[in-house]
Amino acid sequence: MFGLPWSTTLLVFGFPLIWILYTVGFLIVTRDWGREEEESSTRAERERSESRSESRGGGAPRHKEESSTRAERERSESRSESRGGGAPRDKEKPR
Amino acid sequence: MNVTVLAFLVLYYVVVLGIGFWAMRRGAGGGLEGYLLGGRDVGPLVTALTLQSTSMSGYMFLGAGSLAYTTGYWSLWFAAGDIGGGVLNLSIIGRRMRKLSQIMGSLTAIEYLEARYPSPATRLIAASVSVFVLAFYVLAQFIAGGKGMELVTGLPYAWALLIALAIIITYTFLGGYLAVAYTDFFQSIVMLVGVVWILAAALSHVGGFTAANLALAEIDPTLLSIWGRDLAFQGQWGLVAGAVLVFSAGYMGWPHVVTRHMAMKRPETARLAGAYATLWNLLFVSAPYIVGLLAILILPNLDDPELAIFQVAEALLPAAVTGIVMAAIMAAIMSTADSLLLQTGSIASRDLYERFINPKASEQQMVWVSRLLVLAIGAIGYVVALQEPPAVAFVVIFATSILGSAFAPAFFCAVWWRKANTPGAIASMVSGTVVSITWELAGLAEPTTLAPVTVGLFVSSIAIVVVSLVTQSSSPVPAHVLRAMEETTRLGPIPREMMAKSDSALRPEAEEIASLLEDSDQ
Repeated sequence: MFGLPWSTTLLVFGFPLIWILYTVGFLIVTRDWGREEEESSTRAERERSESRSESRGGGAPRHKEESSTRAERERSESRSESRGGGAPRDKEKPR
Repeated sequence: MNVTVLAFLVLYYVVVLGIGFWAMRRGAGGGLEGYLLGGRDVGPLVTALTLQSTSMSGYMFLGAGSLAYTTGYWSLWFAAGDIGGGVLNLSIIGRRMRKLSQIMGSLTAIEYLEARYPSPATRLIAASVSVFVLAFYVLAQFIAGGKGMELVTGLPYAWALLIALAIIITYTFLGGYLAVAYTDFFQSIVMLVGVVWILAAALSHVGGFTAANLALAEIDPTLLSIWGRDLAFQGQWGLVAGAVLVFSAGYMGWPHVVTRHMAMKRPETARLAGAYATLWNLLFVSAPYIVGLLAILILPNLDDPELAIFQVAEALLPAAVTGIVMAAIMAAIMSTADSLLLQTGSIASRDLYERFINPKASEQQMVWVSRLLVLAIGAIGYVVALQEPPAVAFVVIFATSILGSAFAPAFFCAVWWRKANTPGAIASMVSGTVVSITWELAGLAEPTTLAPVTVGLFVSSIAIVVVSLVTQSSSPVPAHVLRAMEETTRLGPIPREMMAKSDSALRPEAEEIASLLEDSDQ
C-alpha cells in the first residue's frame, strides 16, 4: 500500500491506529470521572452551606466537629511519626 | 537575509511576548503556586498543548528530519511511540499525580518526589540529576535555535547563536508557568500549521505519497524498510524498543513535562487533555519525519541533514509562508527551551539552594539564584554549541533516555504502588541514571543491540521493586503518605482536613496551629 512494504505500512499506520483505540478506550473507561467529580463537588458545597447555616443557628455542626477531631488526630499521628523518624514533609521544611 | 521571512519571525516574537505579558499579568498575585503552577487552574486544551509543545522540541524539526534523511523509514519507530506519549502519560499518572501533589502541597516535580518518598536524599539526588540533564537537554535547543537563525538571517553561526540564545533567555525571564503555558498553547498551533504546510508543499512537489515512496525505492529500496538504510538495524529489537519507549513510557519521567499534571485545573482534566494530546500528535508527530524522507528526493545532496526541513521550506515555499514555517521551528525550540530553563531554575533555587544551602532564602534571592543559573547555562551552552556542536538528535535522545530511566518508575510507583518506599525510589533513580549514561558512553548499544533507555528503564524498574520489598520492614511507607495515596484512588474533591494541611495558601495557618499544639504538648 502507498508503495511501501507491508511491515512499513503497519509501522506508519498501525501504531497511530493503536493509539487512537487506546485513547477511545481511556475516554470510555473514565467517562464517570467528570460526572462523579461534579456530583462530589456539589455535595461538598451543599454540606458546607448547610454547616454555615447551622453555625449561624447557634450550635456547632456535628460533622464539623468530627472533621476537626479527625484533623486533630491526624496531626498528632504526624507528630508521633515525626518523632519516630518518618517525618511528614510539611513539618520537615518550615516555610 | 530574506526580509519577508525575517519580518514574519519578528511578528511572531512580538505576538509571543504579548501573550507572555498578558498571561504574566493574569497570573500575578497568586503567590509561588501561581508562579510555578499557574494557580493549578489550567484547562484540558491548554494542558494538552503545553504538554505536547514542551516535549516536541527543536528535535522535531532538526533531529527528526535528519534521522529520516539518513536512516529512512526506520526513524518512524520514534514517531510510533511519540504519538501515544501524551495520552499514556495523562492516563497513567495524570489524575492521581494532580491530586497527590495537591494533598502533599508540592509545587515542583522534585518536591513532589521528596513528599512521596520522604528523605532529603530523594530531593538531593533527583534535583542534581534533573539540573544536570535538563541543562544538557537545553543545549540541543540552543544549537537548533542558532542554526535556524543562521539560515534566516544569513549571519555567521556565532552571531546567530548569540541572538537565538539572547531571545530564549530574555523570554524565559518573562516568568511564570502561566506565561509559559499560554505561549506554549499559541506556539503549538503555529508548529502544527507550519509542519502541515510544509508537508503538503513537499508532497505536492514530489507527486504524492505513493509516487514519493516509489521514487525513494529507486534510489535505495532499503530506505523503505523498517530496519533502516542498508538494513543497518535488521533484527535489532532492543534498539527498536528503545526508539518506541523513549518518547512514550520514558516520557513519564521528564520533570518538566509531569509538572503539567500538577498544574491541571482538576484531576479529571487529564481525561480530555489525553484526547486532545492524541489528536494533536496524530496531526503533528509523523510529519517532520516524512518531510525528512521527502527531502532525499527534493534536496539529494545536503551537506547538513539537520537542515533538511529548513531547506525544503526555503526551496518550496514563498517567502511569507517560509516565515511562518521558520516561526514554527523557532516555536518548537522556544516552547521547550523556556520550560527547561524555568524548570532547571526552579529546581536549582527551590530544591537545592533553599532546601540545602539557605533555608531562610527570601523569594527574591531564590529568583536571583534561578536567573543566575539560567545565565550560567546560557554561557556554557554558548561555548559548547560554538566549539563542536553535537547533533541535536543525539543530545535529545540521550538526555530523554536518562530522564526516562531515572524517573519514570519513581513517578509511576508514586501513585500506583503503596509499597514503593524511599530506599526503593533512590535505588531506582541512581541505577537508572548510572546505567543509561554508562550504556551510552561505553558504546554498549551497538554490540548488545539494546538502547540505553531500554536497559535503563528495565534496571530502574527492577531496582524500585526489589529494594522496596527488601527494605519494607526497616523503611515502611509513612502513614500520612498511605492516607494521601488512598485519597488519590477516590474520585471527587480532596477533603477539607487534608487540604488544610497541604494547600500552600493555607499552609502558614496550618503550621501555626501545629506549632501551637506542639508547644502546648511540651
